[in-house]
Amino acid sequence: MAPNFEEAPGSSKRLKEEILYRFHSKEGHEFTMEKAAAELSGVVKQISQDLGIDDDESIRNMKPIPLINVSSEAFHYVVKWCEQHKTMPPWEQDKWWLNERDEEMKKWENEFLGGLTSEQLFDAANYMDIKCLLDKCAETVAGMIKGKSVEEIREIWELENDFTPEEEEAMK
Amino acid sequence: MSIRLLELPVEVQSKILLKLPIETLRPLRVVSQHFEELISLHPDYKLIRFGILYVAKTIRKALNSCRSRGISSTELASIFDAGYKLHADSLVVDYPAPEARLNELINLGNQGLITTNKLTVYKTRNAIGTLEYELPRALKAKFFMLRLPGGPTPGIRYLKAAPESKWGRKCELQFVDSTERIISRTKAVDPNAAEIAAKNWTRLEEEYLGHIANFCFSKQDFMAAVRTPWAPLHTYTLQHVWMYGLFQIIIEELRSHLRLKPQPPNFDGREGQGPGYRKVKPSIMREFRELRHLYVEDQNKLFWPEEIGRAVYVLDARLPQVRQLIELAIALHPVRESIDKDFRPTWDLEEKIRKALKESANESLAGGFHHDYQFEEYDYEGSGWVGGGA
Repeated sequence: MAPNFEEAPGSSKRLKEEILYRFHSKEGHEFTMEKAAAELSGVVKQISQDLGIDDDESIRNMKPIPLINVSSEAFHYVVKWCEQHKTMPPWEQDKWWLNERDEEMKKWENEFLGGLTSEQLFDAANYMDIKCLLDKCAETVAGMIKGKSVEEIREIWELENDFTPEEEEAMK
Repeated sequence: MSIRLLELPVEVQSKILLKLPIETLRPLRVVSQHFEELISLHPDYKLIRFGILYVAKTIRKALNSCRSRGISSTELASIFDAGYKLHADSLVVDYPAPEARLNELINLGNQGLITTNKLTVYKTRNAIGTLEYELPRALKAKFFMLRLPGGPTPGIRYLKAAPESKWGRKCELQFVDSTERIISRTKAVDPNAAEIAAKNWTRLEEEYLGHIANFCFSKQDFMAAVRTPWAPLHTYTLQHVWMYGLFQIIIEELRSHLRLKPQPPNFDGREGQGPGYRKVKPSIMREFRELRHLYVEDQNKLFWPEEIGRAVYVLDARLPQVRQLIELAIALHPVRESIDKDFRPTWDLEEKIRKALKESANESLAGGFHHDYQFEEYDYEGSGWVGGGA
């Protein structure tokens, strides 16, 4: 069943007292995200910087950020991810990502991405420049094909075999 | 479940591919066309992230501090030329300061011929805080650029000339033509040697690193790598040529390990020109292109590609331990978990070798400038050294 975006954790019905960024998804749904969570996104940080938004009041008065390439469904997952990771230290390649997450968080991430059925989340994470999510998604997809045969990989990635039998023989 | 890989953004595709072993991806031509270029750039990517930027930062600092000394390039060149002529037979890397020329300048300063408006501020930093010194240019040349025989000098920790016994035999290198490359090495490490090395890796590594750290580059080494008349006198910045040489060796070895064709350094930034150029297609992820561009920009400030090539040649001839150590390290880590992880042991080793090379440079170069200056106060009114010291 499709999530109810009006009632979702990131919906505009959130309490006004919180410092929230507002977003418009591709379909026109409005979402909100807490400041700490939203700033996991490089795009949000960049926009705030470009617009000179540096205090909480400005964030409250800010117009919704249009995310023209992000569907509501994908954004719903993005919000969940960011809310969960908002207290983590700033993302640095190969640092907290590998070492500093506790087991509980790792378990949550695996469950969260275990049911990954759409490329939309990739697009959203990439568009919004959420490095930790993108990295974890890439790790998950890479994990899907580890130990698989070439034929199985082609099936998973929906790739065609463009080698001739002679070429395949030569590669062995 | 399935994911349509080719429909994902290129950046995402790259991220996924980098997390997989190479062997897994080679049989997939449709991705390997993209992958080949990606992986061929990958060593550069690592290089930039962990190596070049670090060094480039150091170089920028060094160059800025050079500019802040207010010595014009003509003046420097004349001082260096004088020193070069005076000490043409010196076997150490750095010449003693050309006393006559310096004294001449100092006298001019004392006579008021070098006016105070030519004074510039030289900032340095010690444990206490930032101190500022105002020195006439001639004194700057004396105390900050050139080594003085004996006695501590502000800003220069390693003052003594490298003893002849330390740097050993005289270098008998032939100059290498700039178009010549010494790479395309495909030789495999002897399995027996690798096995022996695996058993004694720690001892071997220490031994090799110790040798590198205790090595002294001679002035001929510098001349062979960077053919500037005053190269031996300007070694405090030119010492970085060995670091670049080290990175180039690692790239060569990694590329050879990955069965990629050799790639000579291409630092001129003019895409599509020059031998050995590999065109960076738009499909390559943005991150690579931008970082590569940075790489080019930084590199242009100090060395030319052929100088890096010659530095590799010099390192191979004078310090073969560098390449041997890298070859062994790569041979000893054959397990390929993913492309990212594959290179990690090599780059860990690179860090160690770089430190050893730095140590070697510091011990053999008079111009080994450091950011953690050890001196406390220098009385430039004439009484010379006051306190602190290396």
